[in-house]
Amino acid sequence: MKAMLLLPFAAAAVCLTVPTQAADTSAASRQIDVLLAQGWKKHNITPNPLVDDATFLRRVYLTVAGRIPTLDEARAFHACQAPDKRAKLIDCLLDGEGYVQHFFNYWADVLRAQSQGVGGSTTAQQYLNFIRESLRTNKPWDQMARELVSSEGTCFDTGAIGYYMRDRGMPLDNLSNTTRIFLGTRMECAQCHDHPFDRWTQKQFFEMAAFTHNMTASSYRSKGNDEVQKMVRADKSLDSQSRDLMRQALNEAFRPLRDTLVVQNKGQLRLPHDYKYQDAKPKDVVRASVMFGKPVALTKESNAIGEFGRWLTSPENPRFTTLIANRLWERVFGAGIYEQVDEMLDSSVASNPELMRFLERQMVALKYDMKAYLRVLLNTQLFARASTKEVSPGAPYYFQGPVFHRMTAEQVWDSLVALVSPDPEQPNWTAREREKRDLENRRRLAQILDQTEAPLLFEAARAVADAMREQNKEFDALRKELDVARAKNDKEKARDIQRRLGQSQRILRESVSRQFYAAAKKSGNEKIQEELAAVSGGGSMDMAMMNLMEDTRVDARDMPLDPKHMKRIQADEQVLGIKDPKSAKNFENYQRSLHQTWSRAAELPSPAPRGHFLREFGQSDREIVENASDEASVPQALTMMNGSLLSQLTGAWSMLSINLRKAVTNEDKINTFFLSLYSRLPDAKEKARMLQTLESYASNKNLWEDITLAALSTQRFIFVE
Amino acid sequence: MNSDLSRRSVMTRMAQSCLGVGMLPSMEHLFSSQAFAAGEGAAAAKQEATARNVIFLYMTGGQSHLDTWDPKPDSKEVMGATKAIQTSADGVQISEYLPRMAKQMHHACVINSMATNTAAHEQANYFMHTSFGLRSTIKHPGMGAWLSFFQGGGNPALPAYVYVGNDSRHPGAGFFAKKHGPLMVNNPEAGLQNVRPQKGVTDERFALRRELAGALDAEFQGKWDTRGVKAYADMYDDAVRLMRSEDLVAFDLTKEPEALRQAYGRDAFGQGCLLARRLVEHGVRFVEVSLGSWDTHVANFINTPRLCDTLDIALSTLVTDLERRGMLDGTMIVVSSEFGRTPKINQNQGRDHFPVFSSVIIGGGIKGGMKFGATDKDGAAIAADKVAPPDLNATIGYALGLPLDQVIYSSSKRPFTVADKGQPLTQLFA
Repeated sequence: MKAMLLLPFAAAAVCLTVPTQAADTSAASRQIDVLLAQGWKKHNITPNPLVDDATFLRRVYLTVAGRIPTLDEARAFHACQAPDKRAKLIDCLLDGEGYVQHFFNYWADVLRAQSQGVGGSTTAQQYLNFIRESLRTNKPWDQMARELVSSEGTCFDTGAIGYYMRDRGMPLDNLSNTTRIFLGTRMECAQCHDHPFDRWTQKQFFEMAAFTHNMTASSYRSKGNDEVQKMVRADKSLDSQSRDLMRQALNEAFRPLRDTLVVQNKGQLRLPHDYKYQDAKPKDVVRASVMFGKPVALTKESNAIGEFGRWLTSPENPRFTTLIANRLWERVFGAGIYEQVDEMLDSSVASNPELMRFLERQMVALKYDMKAYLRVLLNTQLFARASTKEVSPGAPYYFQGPVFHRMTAEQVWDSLVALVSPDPEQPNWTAREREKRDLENRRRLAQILDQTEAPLLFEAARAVADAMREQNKEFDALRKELDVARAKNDKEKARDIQRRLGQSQRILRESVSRQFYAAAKKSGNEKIQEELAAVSGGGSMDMAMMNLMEDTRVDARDMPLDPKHMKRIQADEQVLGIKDPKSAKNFENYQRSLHQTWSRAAELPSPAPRGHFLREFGQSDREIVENASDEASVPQALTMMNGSLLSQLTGAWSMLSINLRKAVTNEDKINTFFLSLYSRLPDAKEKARMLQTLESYASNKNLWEDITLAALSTQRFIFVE
Repeated sequence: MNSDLSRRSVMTRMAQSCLGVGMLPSMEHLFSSQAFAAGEGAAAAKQEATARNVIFLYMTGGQSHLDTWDPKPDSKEVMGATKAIQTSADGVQISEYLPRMAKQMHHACVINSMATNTAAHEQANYFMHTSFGLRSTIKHPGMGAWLSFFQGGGNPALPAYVYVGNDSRHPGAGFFAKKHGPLMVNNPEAGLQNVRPQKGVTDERFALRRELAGALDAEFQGKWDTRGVKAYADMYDDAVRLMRSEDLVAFDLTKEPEALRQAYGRDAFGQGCLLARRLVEHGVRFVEVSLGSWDTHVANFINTPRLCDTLDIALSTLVTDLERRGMLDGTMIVVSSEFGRTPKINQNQGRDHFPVFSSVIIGGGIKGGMKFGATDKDGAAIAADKVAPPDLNATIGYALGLPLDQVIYSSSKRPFTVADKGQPLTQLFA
């Protein structure tokens, strides 16, 4: 993690000196250009001209790292004289955390991952972390896909179970999404009847679903819980209210562990009751069978989901490889060789079939290494050509250049982050730390509750039940007071009653924690005692369990600052003229908490809450596959012109402001500004115009604020040449 | 830009864009009314619209029908501490927690026989809003989006559909183009976001920024004259005009007399209802306001009275306010929830999820002072005239004159009708 953190500072300096690796891919890049040229010749097309360094720089940063380059990065690239500086920059960016954050946004949209998904549970966060980690370790795509569709167990084992948790209760929809995401084949119509526009029958759909329909999001199971439930049922001395209260008590104790388990059941799938075709009868049992490719034979002992995953991701699967090769091509060049990328029909035609076949072979030869494949694409001459303005939907496109497009919502946001933050890729320490602790707490809670002897859990549940009985008495009393208050229309009193109700709920939660802690403490299991000892740090002992059950709070100001950090902060203090200790402390705290607001999209709650800048600009809500949008809207324009967040870009401590301060002459400042926002120096006309503006402002302190906000509201800022 | 005429044409474009526009080709051309087996079973009932507007009050979390619109005074065991009271409608009793509404029930039709198919919040909420089951391959539109799709908005300068509340999973436009989705308002008192320049930014500075932006962008916009770039150029012009538009006043609650603001209740729901009335007055045709949480698993008899107070104050004021302005006939108020709560009082003096519940319709051409459907003596089962969420939505659609049997195709080429196959309760109309 620490190395990641440091990379961006180092990037600008180191970038151009790392030796180019993977020289063997350059032949593949050249071959792509050859195949493209054959296509142009055949269709009588002139390729677009090559672009200058500045256009390339901005494009490659946005394509790989998902943001515009910082001032230092832009300067370093422009200053570098090495003939292969573009290839080196590509390598450097593919190695960086920016790649992880940028492609995370895309895959989270494809995989519909949400931080607040499925009850905001630990699984939802682990699912997002699975995507992050897979990209960070450059996990081969076939492996990542296999893990997603074949994982079972708890989220403590793997976040990949999020793939099935996401669609809990909807196994048929899940399969439709699976064929779309991994095979580029839309089957949702065939869920209810033979596909009207494609060849899939309803029976084929169900045969495919027979592999995956048993994947079930289960409530948390443990031996101890099963046993104590049995004891509650069997104890004849308990009346029915006590039983209900004890069950409720156990629910409360296990509640933090809900939605953490996916299991593969052993059920049979049947055709629907209204099945209307001749090849089978309604409610017939369906045998698992694949829709194309090499047949898969299941026996009683087979792990259906494992077999399915192997078939799905095999190089012999006729669509798996094509789709990922085309998907990543589309990521880089703005259009697929097949369109729609995730809706291949028998009638779909690749605009350049030889090229498509070549790319598929590359993908297999590179063993589904996504970075290696991207490196091949990025080093083509095609990637260095001027963009084509627009491509008509439905017409084949022969890739005379990449396609001009608007930045994604995340690219716009992340580019703003690069203007504010000295370290745009820095992790959202508060959020990641909170997740880490929550995960560890839940894991620990599971271990403690799993291993505490059932009779001890029984006693704890009984004690909580007693507390609940007391609470009910309190409810009665509160209700009586409420009647009086209502009769007198005494609003103050009614609010007080509400407050006391909240307090009573808090006391009950503490009782759950205290009683189950006491139970665990009495356990003879040594492992439990170790776990308990590990949690009790800070706070009183009997509240220790509470920490395991409730969400962790993390204070951004506790973020550790390493020496590199401190050095940079001190350097900035010099520029800003911060001298007295109090101001220095403030500046330090600002730096520590900056990540809470100005982290990259991938590090913020994902998707961002409704109303956030990201959502206004079309970030996907992750409700359905690839739901992001690049449409213009009035609120976007209003946000860019009047949003309060935007004015922080020009606050004294933003990176942009510090850089402008460092520049001495007006000309320096103008150069700094253009490099920071547009990744290039101004041309003579632009410079003259800016100088004129600066002079007309002369003594105005709002000068750069006005210029910056003007520049942000240009199309030039949010469209990618 | 200075004449009234051009203001209108600008505002028309703004309407398409107001808060979620498409300059890219919208989906409409993909739709056609030709059906294949689709649409079978959808109601053919058509009539002249009786309502122009809908104010939909959504009770998030599952409102206890027993402690609101369907009390069972003869069953002490079911009612717990809750009592029933008489209302201004003969034979209609409601809970004591709604005393102000008791005086307005001659305007209302209470549907006591609502029945849904799930007791899970998210699924039931989605079903109530869209008439379709929650799926992970498609999103279906909310009723306001159907209205916008078929009939457009009532004021080109304002969105056709507004949602006031905090539900991040509102289905919104569903599979329709974004422009049919609701403008989401979290805080009814905050007005529209970002329609004022930041503090300290004078008109002069604002104008200067626009001018400077134009200069910085002129060459780029000339070179890249794509549809997308042009859409953005238009959008900035529209945004600036919106900032100067007199229609913004629709969102400004400070224009209301203080006494009336108090009468609605100084909370988000009360002010949301007031905003709904202002918006409807200015031509917004579908406004939803949500109130929650009614998920009273614990201490139902303390929590429900509090929620009822908020509802009672706001709703009774809304009814009288609309009536006073002569707007009640043209505006249908609907109160509904995702499901009801158990007749059995649980171990924590709460009520759990239950698929039987009640809805209320007021105005918009509906007969007042009546009940429709019934539950059994314990409020546990439907005793007469079961009404499912699609039927309630079909009733809303019927009142608005929407073509209930017209098949519409999503962009994934799947066929749908508004309110699915729901049957409108035509017998409720005057």
